[in-house]
Amino acid sequence: MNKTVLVESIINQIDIRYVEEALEPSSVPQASSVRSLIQKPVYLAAAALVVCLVIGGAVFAGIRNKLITGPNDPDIISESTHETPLAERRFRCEVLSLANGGPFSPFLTQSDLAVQWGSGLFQSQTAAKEITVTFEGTAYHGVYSYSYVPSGLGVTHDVYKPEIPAEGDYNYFEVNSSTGDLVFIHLASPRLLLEEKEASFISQEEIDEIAKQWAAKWIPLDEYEKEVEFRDTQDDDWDFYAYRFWSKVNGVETTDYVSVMVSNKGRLIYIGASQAGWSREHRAELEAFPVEEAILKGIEASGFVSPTINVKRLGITSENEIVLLLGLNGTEEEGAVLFVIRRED
Amino acid sequence: MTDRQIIELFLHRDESGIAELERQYGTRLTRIAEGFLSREDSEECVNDTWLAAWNHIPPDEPRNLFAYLAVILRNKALNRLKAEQAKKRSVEVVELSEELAACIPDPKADTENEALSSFSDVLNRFLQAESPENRKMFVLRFWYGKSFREIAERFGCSEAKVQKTLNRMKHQLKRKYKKDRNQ
Repeated sequence: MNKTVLVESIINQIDIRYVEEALEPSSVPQASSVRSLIQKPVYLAAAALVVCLVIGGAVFAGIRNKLITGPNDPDIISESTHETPLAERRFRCEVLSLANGGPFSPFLTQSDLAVQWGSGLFQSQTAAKEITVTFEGTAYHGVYSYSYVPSGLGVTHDVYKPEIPAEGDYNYFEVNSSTGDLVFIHLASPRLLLEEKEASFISQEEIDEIAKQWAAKWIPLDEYEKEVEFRDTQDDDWDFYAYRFWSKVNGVETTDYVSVMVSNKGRLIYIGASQAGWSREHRAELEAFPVEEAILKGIEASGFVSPTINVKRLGITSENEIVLLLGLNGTEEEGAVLFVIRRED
Repeated sequence: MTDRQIIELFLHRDESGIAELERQYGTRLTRIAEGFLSREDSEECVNDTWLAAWNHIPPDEPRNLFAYLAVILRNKALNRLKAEQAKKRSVEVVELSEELAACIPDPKADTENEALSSFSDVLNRFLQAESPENRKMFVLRFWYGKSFREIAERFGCSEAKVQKTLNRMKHQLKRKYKKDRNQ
């Protein structure tokens, strides 16, 4: 190995966090870069978002203080910042496919909205061996591959793939094993779609009942010094904005982050989380992972695009599950979403 | 899905692992690729990265999957630049390696693996202690192979300032490495 090759090997071992960080905009732009920023709507949007966050922070802090409460607080169930009763139990969902052939979600129903944590693959004895689903008038035929549980509420997804890998224009799709509804499809060919789809939704009573069950297990988080760093990863060439939040606990940056994706029409389309880099040693310290704060900031961020989402209830359970009940309004129809994020042991 | 679960899919030669990989890391890797290449080339480069990962896992079982993918992608991107006869850039990459090599004492004194391991460790600790702005400049220069002019434009400062900052960092890095070796 000559010295040049050795150096190349060393450069390749630069911490990946710094590699990603280097692509972020400079935080202290000088005059010329300010001019450059003005010419770039993406950065302008990010700058405006920061302003929105600052202005909204004080108001939001008040809401948040009401939202995060101690265990067995009977008031939490009746507390709501949603001014309008959710009379309508259905809402129109946006289906988004990415230009690069990435995933989209015909926005999920009920507990399917939960984030994919703590999942494990398994073979189901009851899943249909083959199934055909129709999406946008196109039939997709798949052969059963495996099942997994993506949510904290126990709904199983069955994953189907084309019999011949090159066949069709999809990689795989997922159906709710209980209802047989299509909940996810991963398209293989590049395309860009933005359509309205209807999705049925559970009743407010059911949501309240689930929220009660979780709220009974909520624990306080006040003893931890938590900090969330916002890193904008939005891309103006796609039809969504992605906001990413890294967390710090007691001043130590973790490798956990939360992604919040919002369509350019202001609708929340995805909340995801990563627990990359976890270790047993850090587990105790991370037990009060401030993911809920990150999500709150994500909601604020979505408000920047269109003020459609507000948080009704929020809590973390003793089982490290974060529960977030959202209200979606500002659109023609209304609905509510219950998110459960489960941390993996 | 966790990294470990994705790797398990690869180990079992389950092609859905590639889709999961894309789902988990596609956006981030594409962004890194765009640090080197045009958007169109970036997409191809990221696809090449998925294939390379498929061919190398197994036998590889990376501890940090994203970092592993990023290194594959970087090598692919640099190869692509060379293949496209972007002579200026490929020459610059070699120059960059030589530029940073000046920070490393004669590797004969150690085994190469030791030199690689110890310097990588020192380098990452050094970068951690630097300000975010300096760290970005350093990584843009040496990881992404950006010119002084490109970095200066990004930070809204003069090329001279970028050169000065990077020279100072290289000297400090060299001193730090020597100090660590002597301890």
